[in-house]
Amino acid sequence: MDHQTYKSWILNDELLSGEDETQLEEHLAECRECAELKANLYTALQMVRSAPQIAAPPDFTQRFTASLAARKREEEKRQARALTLALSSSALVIAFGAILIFLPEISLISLATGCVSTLLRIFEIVQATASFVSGFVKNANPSSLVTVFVVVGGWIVLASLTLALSVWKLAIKKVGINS
Amino acid sequence: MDPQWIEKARHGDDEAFTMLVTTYQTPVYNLCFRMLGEATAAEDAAQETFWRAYQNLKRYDPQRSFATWLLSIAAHYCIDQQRKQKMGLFELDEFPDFDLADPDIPNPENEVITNSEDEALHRLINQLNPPDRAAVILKYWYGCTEEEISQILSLTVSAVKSRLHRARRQLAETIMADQLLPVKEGQ
Ligand SMILES: [Zn+2]
Repeated sequence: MDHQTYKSWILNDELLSGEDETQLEEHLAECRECAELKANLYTALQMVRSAPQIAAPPDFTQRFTASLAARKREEEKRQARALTLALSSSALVIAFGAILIFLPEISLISLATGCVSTLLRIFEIVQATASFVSGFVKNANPSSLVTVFVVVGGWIVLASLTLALSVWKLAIKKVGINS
Repeated sequence: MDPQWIEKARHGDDEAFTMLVTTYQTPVYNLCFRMLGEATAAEDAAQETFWRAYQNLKRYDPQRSFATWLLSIAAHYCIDQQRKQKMGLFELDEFPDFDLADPDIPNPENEVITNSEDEALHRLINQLNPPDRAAVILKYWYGCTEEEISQILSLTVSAVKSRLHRARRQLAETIMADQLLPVKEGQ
């Protein structure tokens, strides 16, 4: 048997068979490291075993009873809040469902057709604008075309300058707050 | 402990639960104190243990020992606290109150706790990581079997064995280092 095996026997802290015990004793007599390990382990475990019991401080139970009452009140409040929230949200859902079921004008189908027709109208407006612009570009004479481009272009440049200015101002303010 | 108190408490009898607190306060507090090494933290942990037990009483299996169940709640709580502390995380209500008392004026309550033997033990077991420390205290102070420790700490028996093996090596090394210290200072 080698030194490592004896070391792990010591650290396992389990009862050994008579034969193993004798072998370990023989090894301990000649190996100083293992003998020290065993002695140090014994000292450490003895410190744990012989530690006095630390009693709970006086009035521990009274403090528990007092905090139990407070915590139960807090728990009841929390549960009441949760109940109110659950009730009001389910009331909302029920009300919404009732509207859908009992008012035929706002049925699910009418809502869906409403959405579709709105989308169609938006699409129509976009199309009309596009055709107006292309018609204007085709039919107008060059000088009025240039005027329109200058006005629209100038407006876009002015708008982006204003935007850039306000962003820059905001950034300056932020830096001022941070520093 | 009369199992009838536990049964009464399980059916919502607060007075019966208070009886359980009185009966088990010291084993629970003692474990918290050995785990955390400090009276205020130990009291908070022991109080929290009983509150958690109160809330989860319906989940307690009467086939198991009630003391073991309480020690399990306490051990888990203390291990969690120390992990949080190590990571620098504190819940808001865990910030210590600023104590204006002069620390030099002896406080009879603290006097009992900070005797040199307890301090030496604390320094010794504080070297271990919290679950290893819990395993050592449960085995060598409470006399729990490895099977019981595995239930208390929610570990497998082989994990308990390897934790205890590592802890014993570390404890022996700490004792050895302590013995070498005066020699080093003398040089
Ligand atoms: Zn050896």
